Amino acid sequence: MGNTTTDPREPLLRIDDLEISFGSASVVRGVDLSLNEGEILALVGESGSGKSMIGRSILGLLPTPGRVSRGRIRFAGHEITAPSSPEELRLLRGRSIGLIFQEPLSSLNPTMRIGEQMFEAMRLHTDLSEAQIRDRAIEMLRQVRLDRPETLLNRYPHEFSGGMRQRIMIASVMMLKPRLLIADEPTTALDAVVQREVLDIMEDVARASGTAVILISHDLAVVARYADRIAVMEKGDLVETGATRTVLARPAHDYTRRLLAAAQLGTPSPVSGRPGAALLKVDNLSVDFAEKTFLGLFGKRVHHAVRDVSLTVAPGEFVGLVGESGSGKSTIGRAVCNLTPKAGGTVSFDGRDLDTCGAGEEQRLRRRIRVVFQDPFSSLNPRMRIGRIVREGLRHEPGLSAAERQKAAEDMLEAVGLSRDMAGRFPHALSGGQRQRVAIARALIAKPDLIIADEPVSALDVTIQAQILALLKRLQAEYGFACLFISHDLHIVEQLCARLYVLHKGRLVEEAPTPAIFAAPRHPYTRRLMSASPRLEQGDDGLQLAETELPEIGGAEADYYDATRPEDPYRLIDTGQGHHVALRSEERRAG
Amino acid sequence: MILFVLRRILMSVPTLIIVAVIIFCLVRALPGDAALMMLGGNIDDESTLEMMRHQLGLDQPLPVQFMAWLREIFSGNLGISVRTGQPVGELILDRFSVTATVVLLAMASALAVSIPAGLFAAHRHNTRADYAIVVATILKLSMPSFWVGLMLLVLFGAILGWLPTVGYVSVSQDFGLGVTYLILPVTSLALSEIAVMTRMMRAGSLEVMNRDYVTHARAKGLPERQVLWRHVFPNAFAPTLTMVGIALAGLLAGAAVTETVFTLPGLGKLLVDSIYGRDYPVLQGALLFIAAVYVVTNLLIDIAYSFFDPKVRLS
Repeated sequence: MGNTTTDPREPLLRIDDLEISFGSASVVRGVDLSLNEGEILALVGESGSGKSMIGRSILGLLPTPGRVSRGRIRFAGHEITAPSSPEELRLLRGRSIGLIFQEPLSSLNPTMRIGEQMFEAMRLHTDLSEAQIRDRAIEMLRQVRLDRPETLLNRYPHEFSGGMRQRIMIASVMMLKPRLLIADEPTTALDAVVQREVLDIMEDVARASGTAVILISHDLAVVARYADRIAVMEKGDLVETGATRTVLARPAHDYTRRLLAAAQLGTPSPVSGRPGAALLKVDNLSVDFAEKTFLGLFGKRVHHAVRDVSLTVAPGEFVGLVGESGSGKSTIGRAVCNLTPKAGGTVSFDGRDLDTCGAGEEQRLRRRIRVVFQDPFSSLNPRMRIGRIVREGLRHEPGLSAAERQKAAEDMLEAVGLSRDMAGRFPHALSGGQRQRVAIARALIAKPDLIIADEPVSALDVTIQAQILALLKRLQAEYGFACLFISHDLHIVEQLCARLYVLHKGRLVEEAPTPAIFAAPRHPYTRRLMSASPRLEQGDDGLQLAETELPEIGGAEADYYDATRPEDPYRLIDTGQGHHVALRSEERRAG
Repeated sequence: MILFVLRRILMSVPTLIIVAVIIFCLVRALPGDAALMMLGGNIDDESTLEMMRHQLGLDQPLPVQFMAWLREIFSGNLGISVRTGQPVGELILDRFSVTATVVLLAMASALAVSIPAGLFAAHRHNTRADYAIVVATILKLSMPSFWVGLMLLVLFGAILGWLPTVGYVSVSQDFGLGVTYLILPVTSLALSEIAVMTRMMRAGSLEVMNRDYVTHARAKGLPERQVLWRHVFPNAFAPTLTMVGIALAGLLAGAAVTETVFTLPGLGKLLVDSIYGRDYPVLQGALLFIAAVYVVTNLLIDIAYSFFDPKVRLS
């Protein structure tokens, strides 16, 4: 199946002097790249660097009106940029070149069953019988480590989580055993633990079938683990290529060095709170989501999103709330703001119980809490100008004239590192990082005492992430607010947070001052989270990939509370210096 | 699924009762006297008038009249036309079959044309083919539909003389002749729907066309035809389906303008005639029937949704 290369020395894929243009603007210029059979190449750069366009051009699927305006792409004896017929390209797609997209939530057709989506390409490219195709699909789903694959084929995409969909995607693409796989940010939308799993699976499957991979990503640290070689793109130019180890250890180009610096995030500088009474105190908070089963005739199935969680935030303190998606961390943030009803527990702010203090008092207290959301693309109203969005944070301040509000908004924009004239623009004219700055400005303009930041940097490029974190730190020093920082990435919360709470399936499994948790993580779940997000570290020979070596802990794993078995007895015990960990038995103590 | 349908049908009973109350009140609020109308309009003999009113039950208090009507409905009897003496149920079904034939044929042909046309226009976005389709739909949308109907009549009926201009012959009586009477009204109705639905379909497809799963379908090497029909169409059709539902219910309830232009004995015409004739039983029966048509059409559209969107659970 497929053509073999005539010249054995000819690489599988060769890109010469590639230029891609949209109208008269070129987004990729003079790129030369080559890839051998079975090799994994990481193509790294920020959003807008043109890396995805290179991937698309290899399939001949540039979005309109993009086109290859110069250069050529050769793949296994085929001229992609000058095919003999459109059919030649179409037959290469799927069979010889596979593509996996960033957004697992949008890359599967929502109206088609999983099985059907897997089968249709097989039917097209092979002569196998229906039964054989079905067997291959089941075998492939098993290879991406999905349980009971035969039951999955008749289900629809919306019934699966993001991580599972991306695995299904990998299975459906790798089922055809392509010679080249283009994975465009395959895990950016997933949280650290799932990201690690999915990439591991992808690497295994690709290596097993000898498929070459182009792994496109903005996160150098994530792809460095898998890539044989790294190519770095900056604003349409290929600035550096080389073996992974060499690029990490001795980056030749300035931009690569900057990317690497961003990936290291720098030395953590936690923001400790002021002593005294807690600003925010959450006691035994529970949140349930009810799911009606079968027309509501047979009762409801109650899903406990948050169970018995207690936490405190001191004035001016940064506290991290960490866990994978579905752990209930965002729900806690929402429950504190009263955006989700509580099933139990109390929330006190500044010493007052928000449920019992009376409506007027509650409103006054709540005005001192502001929120920054994850997705800066949907959290700003696209029909409002930036100035108005920021000003809106002041609407509960009577006695301010319009001019004063305007000035306050512009001052705030300046404080978050934007220019004053941004006030007249609409959100769509801003980049993701700029939008998140606007969201921060909107939250801070009323000088709140507490900010609830729900994954404030997860949707951003690594280089921008570092900038936003630095901004938060600077603003905190200036305004003195406290922050409940919600994130799935331990290394990000490590940067700013003085204390961490680790959540797993709605339960608190570990709580400790940040340095303590990084020095000696105790709960197995915390350890898994920690090893999931790879970081670059300064080694003896320049930078290298840090495999977090975790110190041994006392006590068997079985002693710890496992949130996947919710009926087990649960107890949070103190192991000294404010380090708490969840155990399952009441008598035995670990450590 | 069956449970869902049963529940929906049960839920529609209170709706229909409320509709019945409103209809009853509205009809009684009409100016004019049914008894006077029936007796030819100019009778000064008060006792004859009284007798007529008594015969029609119009001398009873309104609530009693309403309950009597409701009781009749539940026993399946919609009453008897004041003007023609025919049973109302029979009359409505008779007229509805004309309307339904024209409307369903028009809708089916409109779907058959506008789905491929909309998909094609979106596929050829910003090319001449796309522009041509868009311009054609705008042209049609800006012409009043009764005018288009009249022009069709003038051209094919009067000038060319190919098709009959007045009257109606049912296809069950004489198939060949019946078809010639259907062509013009069906074409005229379908043209309006094609214009709207093509635009909806095009807009829906354009939105879906940029989704990752469509690019991914192409990246699998699927031929363009398969990409369009299997991946774009089911996802792009939902907004059009909503439109179809609204239009279908509205037209089945009586395509009054088209029926008037083409002198079809349909439901819309029945309604207009019974209003002028103060034919209370027919008017009430027809309005109630129309409400039921809306309920059933909406139910069918909701069921159709679940075929196009697996996330829509029928519950």
